[in-house]
Amino acid sequence: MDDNQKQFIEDILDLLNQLDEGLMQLEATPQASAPLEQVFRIMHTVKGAANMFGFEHIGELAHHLETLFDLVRDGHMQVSDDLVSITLNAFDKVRDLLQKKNLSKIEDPKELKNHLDKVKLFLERNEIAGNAIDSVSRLSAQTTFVTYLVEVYPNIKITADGNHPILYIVKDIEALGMSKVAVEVKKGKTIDHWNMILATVSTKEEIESYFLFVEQECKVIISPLAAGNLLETPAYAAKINNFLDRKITKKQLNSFFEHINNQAQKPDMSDSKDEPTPIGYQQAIIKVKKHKIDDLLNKISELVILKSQLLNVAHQTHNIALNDVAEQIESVVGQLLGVSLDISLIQIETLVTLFKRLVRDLSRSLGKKVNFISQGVDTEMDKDIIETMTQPLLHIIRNAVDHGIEPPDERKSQGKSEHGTIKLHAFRSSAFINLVISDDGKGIDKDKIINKAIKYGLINGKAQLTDDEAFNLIFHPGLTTANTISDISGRGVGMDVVKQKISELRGSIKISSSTGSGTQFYIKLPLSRSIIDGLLVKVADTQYIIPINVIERIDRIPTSLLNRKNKIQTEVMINEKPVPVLSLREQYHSEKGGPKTSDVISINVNSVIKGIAVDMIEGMMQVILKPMGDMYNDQDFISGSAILGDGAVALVLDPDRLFSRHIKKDSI
Amino acid sequence: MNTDKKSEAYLTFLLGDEKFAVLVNYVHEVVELNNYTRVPDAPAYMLGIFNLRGTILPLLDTRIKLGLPQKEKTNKTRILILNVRDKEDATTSIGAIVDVAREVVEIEDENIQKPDDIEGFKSTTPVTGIVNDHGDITMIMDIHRVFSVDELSHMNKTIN
Repeated sequence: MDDNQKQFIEDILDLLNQLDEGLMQLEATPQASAPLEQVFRIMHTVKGAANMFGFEHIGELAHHLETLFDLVRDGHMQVSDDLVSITLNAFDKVRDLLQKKNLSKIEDPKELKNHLDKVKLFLERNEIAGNAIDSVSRLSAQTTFVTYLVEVYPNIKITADGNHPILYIVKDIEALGMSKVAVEVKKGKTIDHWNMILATVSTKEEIESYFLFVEQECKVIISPLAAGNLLETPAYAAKINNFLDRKITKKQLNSFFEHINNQAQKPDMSDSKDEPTPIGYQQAIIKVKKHKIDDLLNKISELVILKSQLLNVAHQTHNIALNDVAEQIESVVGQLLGVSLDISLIQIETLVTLFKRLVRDLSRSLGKKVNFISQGVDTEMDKDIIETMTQPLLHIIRNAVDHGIEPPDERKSQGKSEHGTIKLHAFRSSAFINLVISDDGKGIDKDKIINKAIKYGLINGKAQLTDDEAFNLIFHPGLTTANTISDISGRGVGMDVVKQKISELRGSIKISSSTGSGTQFYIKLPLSRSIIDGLLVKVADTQYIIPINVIERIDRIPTSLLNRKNKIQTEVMINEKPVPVLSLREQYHSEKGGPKTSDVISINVNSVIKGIAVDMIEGMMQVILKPMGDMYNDQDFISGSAILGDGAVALVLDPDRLFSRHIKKDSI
Repeated sequence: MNTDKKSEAYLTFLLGDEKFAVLVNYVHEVVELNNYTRVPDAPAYMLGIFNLRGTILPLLDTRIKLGLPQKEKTNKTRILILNVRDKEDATTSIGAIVDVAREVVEIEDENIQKPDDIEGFKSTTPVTGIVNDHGDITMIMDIHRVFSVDELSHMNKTIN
């Protein structure tokens, strides 16, 4: 395979992800023209490129699919379940072939024949049917999104921080789908009205029913804007934002979408000059080899260290001019670090496409009705972190579809909408990325987990567990709560691996769940793998960094409490509970003459509190993790090193591995 | 200078009274021994890690590695920054402590006695040749044999 072909594969793989995204958007908003155009354009590009680089079978498949979508574009065919499935499956196979980079397989006509036949058959059937749009299975009205404008005018005085039911009803409505809300406030914080744009599968009547008990206290106007989820299309979302920011009036908004609706009904008008102008300009993108960015980051982290040294030296000289310059350098270097870290961040959009696909395919095969809603897909994350988190997140979503969301009839009998909803909400807070995955399924059965844990001897039958403690049990290896291990869950990674991966990234995960109304996973991940917020501690001459995220509490105890034979099993009463404490000094620094007191850092290791005893704590600091090289692979309880302000090197501890290393050694 | 004869540049250094030489191509630089951080639970010859202008390198004790008696560090102690091969034909930098770093010399190939010429010489030793300059003996050391990353990390594993 030559370089051009390799480059082609990389480019096409990128395009295929966009295609998936476009197809699923098209399925959600079959009337909208933007996703259709996008799908069509990508197929065309794939076809052209494949033919040019000699992958004629891929080209042929793309050609026939393009023909299908051409029919859709010309209004001779409608977007249907089958069409989207056939297309997705065909390109899945193409992706699979390309990823394996096996030239003889790519060139083997047999590989794609099956899909090609299906596409041709589909095409024939639809051509025979001619313009008979009715022959194509229509998506039922219930499964499609409609975007509404919901206006709520309270008749009484209420404030946002009050607890009037209307406030909660508005919150409930928000959660019916993807939504954006603006609150208009009068003088004295009284709420004048809410403007909400809601893209949902719920009907107008359903939304109205929420206001049944507050009919006297408010006026509600629900007006449909257009079919489909308008918030997912950037140009429409921008228009909506303008409305919510009161830059355009309701009338302007309505006329804008009327126009869109008209256009969707008459696809022949595709040449219309009044296409919504996309917001912002097309940003130029360049592809860079990863190692170049790594090199850049390395150099900048050297600069960060030199900067600290410069500051130290400057302070000692008491030279004002020098101090000034040093401080300016500090500020610029800080910004430089921020910018360069930003370079390696990418939007989680690709991840979201994967999730949509999973939810779509899985819910179909399980006969469930599930919508996937995402919020904050433009949130950026480190590429490595995204790669590490892909499988764990897929697992959580797989579980949500498989075990969380109930079958439609069961949901109906409980008074829920037939459609379950799985929601991913991503947002950034300081140096962390937060991912909240929630579903409105049946929730985690706490008693079932506890019983299972007792059965497997993980916990004592008499133990009183808090909700947190009980839910955390699902991260225990070997505890699956599904009664029957289905084909979907219970293979590949388990929840224990999910937890382990997140800990490796120095993140955290929390679960909340209530029976009947669903489960939420709160995942917090650091923005970058290489920046660590840590506690700097000293043991003999060695400085260690303990990542802040695992630390529960810190206590100072007399060192004499630690002086026993059995190092790991030394139990110390901390917060009135016995905690096994490992003394780093006793374990690794046999030098005599430790201090009279030691600081015990309590750490949460797989939901169990354990202590690490150190000589003293020197302070909190943010450091850049540097690998120690392959030579120290076996010292895996040290995840790397960090250069401190004075040029000294501290060791970054991996508490999880530190304890498992000693448990292993003790048992030998 | 005699250009007819094939010669290569070597850096010579001392371990005790013994003089060694390594191909200068593999020596990145020679630095003084400052602070280093001990990495716990590692074999004795793996002294720890140190900061070379912002890059973290492993520090190895050449004496311990070769089975020679340990010696106090002095102000003549130096670190040779060496580029050694690791498994995938890539190179890794390491720091190797020697008692004294001497000088760069040109050694002609024909002056190097190969081990097979020397009686009772074991082929497993890291010394690949000997130069005998009127009784002043220099041993040519193959650093990849002494400090192969593959081997070191393997030994590290077995010891633990």
